[in-house]
Amino acid sequence: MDKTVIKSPSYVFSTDLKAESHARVVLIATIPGIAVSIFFFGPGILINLIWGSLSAILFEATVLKFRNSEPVAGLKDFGTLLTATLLCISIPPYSPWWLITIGVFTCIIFGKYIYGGARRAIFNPVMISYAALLISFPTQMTSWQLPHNFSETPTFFMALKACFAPEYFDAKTMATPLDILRHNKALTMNELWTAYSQLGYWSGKGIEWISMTFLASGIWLIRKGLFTWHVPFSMLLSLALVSMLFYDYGSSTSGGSPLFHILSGGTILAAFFIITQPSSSPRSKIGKLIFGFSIGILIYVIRWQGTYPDGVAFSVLLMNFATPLIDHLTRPKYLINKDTA
Amino acid sequence: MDVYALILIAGLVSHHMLEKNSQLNIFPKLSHPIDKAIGFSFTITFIFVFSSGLIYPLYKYLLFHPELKFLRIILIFIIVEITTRAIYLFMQNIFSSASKESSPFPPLVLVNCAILGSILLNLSNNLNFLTHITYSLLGALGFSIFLIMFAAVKESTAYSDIPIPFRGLAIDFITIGVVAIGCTGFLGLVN
Repeated sequence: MDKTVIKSPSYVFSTDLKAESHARVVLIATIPGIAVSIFFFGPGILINLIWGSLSAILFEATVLKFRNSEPVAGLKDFGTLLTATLLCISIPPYSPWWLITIGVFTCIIFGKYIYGGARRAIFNPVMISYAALLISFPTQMTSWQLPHNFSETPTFFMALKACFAPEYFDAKTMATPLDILRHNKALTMNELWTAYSQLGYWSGKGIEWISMTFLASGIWLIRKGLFTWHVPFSMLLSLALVSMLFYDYGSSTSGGSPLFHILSGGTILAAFFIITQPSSSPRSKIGKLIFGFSIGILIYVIRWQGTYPDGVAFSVLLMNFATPLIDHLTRPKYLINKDTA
Repeated sequence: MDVYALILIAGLVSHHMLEKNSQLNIFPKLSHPIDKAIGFSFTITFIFVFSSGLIYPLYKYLLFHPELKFLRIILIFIIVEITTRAIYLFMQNIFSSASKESSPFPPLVLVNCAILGSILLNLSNNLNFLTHITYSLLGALGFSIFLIMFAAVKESTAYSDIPIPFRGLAIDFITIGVVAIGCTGFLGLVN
């Protein structure tokens, strides 16, 4: 008995016993991206990860104790560590400790356990906490360290200081590519590229290579059979299509190029690691395509017109909310019960 | 005036409706909340548009005098009440099987509040008749989409192992809070 299918109206899920190893595989797939991030931005992300994982384990153990189940049993699947890792990758490196702690707390409690565990979560836990942090602490959430060829890379000790004594750490922050695009609507794209040296070939220096690495890991995960291509590629395709539609190759009021949008912000990370989470994405293939397409369009709309720097978290949350309805509309025919209708 | 704000308000109100209605059901798990929500949203859209169309000329040509302004809330209440009752009687005569328990009618007070709020907001913008009706229709549609989505979410959380203190109302409010966080992304879209 490795697969139990429980039938309920508009909702079919399978209790997959291999979930534990799935989380471990995804965790392994994040390692190249983390390594590239350390190469460009220094060891800040490592401190984020260590502190984030420690607090995640602490919160998880506490919750499991309150829920009267064995603390160790719940920690054995790597789901908690994966959630904390994804959050710590999304938030800027060299974040203060309280930011990480609040983020992880929101993740574990409001994202996961209030809805009865990771497999029944309606919303993606990482995106709930990212959006909540972005609204509550906009300054901390948008201060990215300059990549290594602009200033000296901070040492491990400096990274510790940035985390636990942020007032003694003088951060050399930069505006992210999306911020640059948002605040310079009068300049053309060529002028932007000469005015801001932190822009690389297609998007920000460093950020574009981290995105590329996550793209490679994501394709590896698809090859391993953890999820299908439908959700990530439909999202990337719709984002590329919409930005191509509005982009006129010159002015920055028309939004960036498709490659700029795909390689900046958290687009690739969200496409392969966030929105593929099985509990909060639709089950049928058509549903997955609708889900991915809508997220891409929403991301573009929020990036282009909204006041927040990145629209990924908000659009993922909104589409997560729509997921049960998509599931209901695209359910297979044998599940439509005519007797009770 | 932004439609998103209206959607959010509508969401908060729709939650109350679902809650009130679920107590009426004898077998909440056997019935289909999504189908019921679709029924609700049709009725609500109709009442919204119809009653705001009725209120507009009265407000414009009868109650324009400042000393009569205190009457407008009572007037809106009466008109919404009349519309809802009329539709209900009409439906009851056509579909004799529609009993009171299974009728797709939301509690009157809450509809009144929602319609009152949106109509007063619309009227204070000094719109012309067509724009006013369009706004009402859009508001009602936003309301309906949120209502149906929320019914689907409620259906899927009904089978989850939610901690006991958070069951029922609490989890619904948390869900609406998270959706509100998602909707803040639209800040700046409408000035």
